[in-house]
Amino acid sequence: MKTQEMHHLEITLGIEAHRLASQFAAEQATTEKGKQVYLNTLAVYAAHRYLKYLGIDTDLNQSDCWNPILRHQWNVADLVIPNIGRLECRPILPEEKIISLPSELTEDRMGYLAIQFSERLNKVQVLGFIKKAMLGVIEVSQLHPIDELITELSPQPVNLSAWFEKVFDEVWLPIEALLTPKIPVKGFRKSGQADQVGRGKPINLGLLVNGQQLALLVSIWTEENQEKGVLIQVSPIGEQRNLPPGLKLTVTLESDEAEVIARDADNLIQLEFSELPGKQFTVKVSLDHESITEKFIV
Amino acid sequence: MTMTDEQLLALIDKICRNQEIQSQERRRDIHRFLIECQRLPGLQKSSHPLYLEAVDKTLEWISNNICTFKPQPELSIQMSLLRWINGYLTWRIRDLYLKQISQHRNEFSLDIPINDNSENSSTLLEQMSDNDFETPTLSGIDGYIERLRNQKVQEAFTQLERYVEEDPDQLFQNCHPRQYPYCNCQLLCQRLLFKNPPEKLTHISRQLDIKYDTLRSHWQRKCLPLLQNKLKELGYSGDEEL
Repeated sequence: MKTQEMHHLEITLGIEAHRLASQFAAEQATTEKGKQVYLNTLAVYAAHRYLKYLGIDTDLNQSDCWNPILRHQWNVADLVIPNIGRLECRPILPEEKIISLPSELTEDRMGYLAIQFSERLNKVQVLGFIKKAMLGVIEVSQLHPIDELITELSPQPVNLSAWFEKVFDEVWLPIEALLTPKIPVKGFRKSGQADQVGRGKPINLGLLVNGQQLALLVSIWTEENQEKGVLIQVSPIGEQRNLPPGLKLTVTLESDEAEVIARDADNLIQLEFSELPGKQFTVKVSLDHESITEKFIV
Repeated sequence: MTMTDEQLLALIDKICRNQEIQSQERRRDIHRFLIECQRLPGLQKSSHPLYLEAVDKTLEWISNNICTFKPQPELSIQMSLLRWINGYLTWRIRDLYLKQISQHRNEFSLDIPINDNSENSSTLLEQMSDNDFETPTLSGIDGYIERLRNQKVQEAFTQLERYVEEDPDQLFQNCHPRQYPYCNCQLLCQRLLFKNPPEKLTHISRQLDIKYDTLRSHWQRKCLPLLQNKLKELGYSGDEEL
């Protein structure tokens, strides 16, 4: 990455950041270890604030470097990002070209964020990101732009073409596994589509649905004209037979949008369309002010 | 080169039209926008710790409130944006200033004048002494840390290691996953923490022929809490005064 030519976001390190760094450093047995803990704490705190600006939650208390015993024994600067992973936030000092990672950095890091320090510790720069560190070393010149980190931390479209190869993300369950025996699976299949594959996942629209559980079901098959047929359905699961009236399913294609709204006693709403492979579409299920959105790529 | 007014407006418009708050596009755009905000000529600058704290809060506020920004008709976009940001920043500095003054009054009964009518935050910053806190520099950090050293806590860590080593109550030795008595917390602490360099969980998992997930969950759910409780008993509270 040509980091020199780019402008980096600066994160200021105020009283709170230095208060934590001082407290953690004071617990260390040597000055050298204290310095390491001080800088690691500032780097992690800066990353935590940066992600907050982007609306990404972090959990400092679950991070090893926030654990007094682990930071005392290990050289760690990790930041837990709930449901995503553990990001290692390494300080880079002025003139440093290489970051050597300590051996205790366990295998579970989702990536490494480089935080550039300067002589004055009143601010740092979010320098770059790399997903894998080869042989325990990161070269600053090999860092990738922060956009890559943002991609890692943001929801990605579900790749439906992989479903034909039987490759599913674990949250997408077989439709049979979601539906109770009361609801025949038959209604969730298109007849005569040899390669049809379908999966579903429970969706949570919050308390407004009175604890009622819903599932988003997606099926895909090959049409004759190279396009793929897609069927999107929302069905109740668990004890309920009907959908909450007013529940809305919206599908947005690149050039079109369609929606369907559940009426009283509807037990299924659905939308069907065809799209060329590689095209993206967005599915939104909403009720009053609650909604969930999921992106797909055909 | 900073962005032109048209580019700034286009970026703000793109952010605000994007309803998918968690999408990578919107987050990337916010990242770009914050960089542009930091580069606005005329942005208030100071090295006072209160200012640094206020800038941090301001960046978060910008991200959350960008769509409420309304350009002033008589000003350029850049100038409008600058006033919008500086306005918020001034308020934040004032808040922090007043908070600090009231803390001082409570703690030391000092008669510090409060000038909360000041529109100018740099005047406030000048009035504040920064004796309470001085941001260290990299070259001066060794001396800074020397002065911080907390003997009592350091002693607690030394005692902890000794305690685990001796394990007089067999607390650590007796804590192990069922069917894996040799994979107990004492051994794990010795190899994962006190050994230099520490071993890796994957290595221990292979060597002791125990599933990685079982080992990891035992370490995190049983051994770490055991260690932390012991450290507390030895006098570590986590909020020691510096």
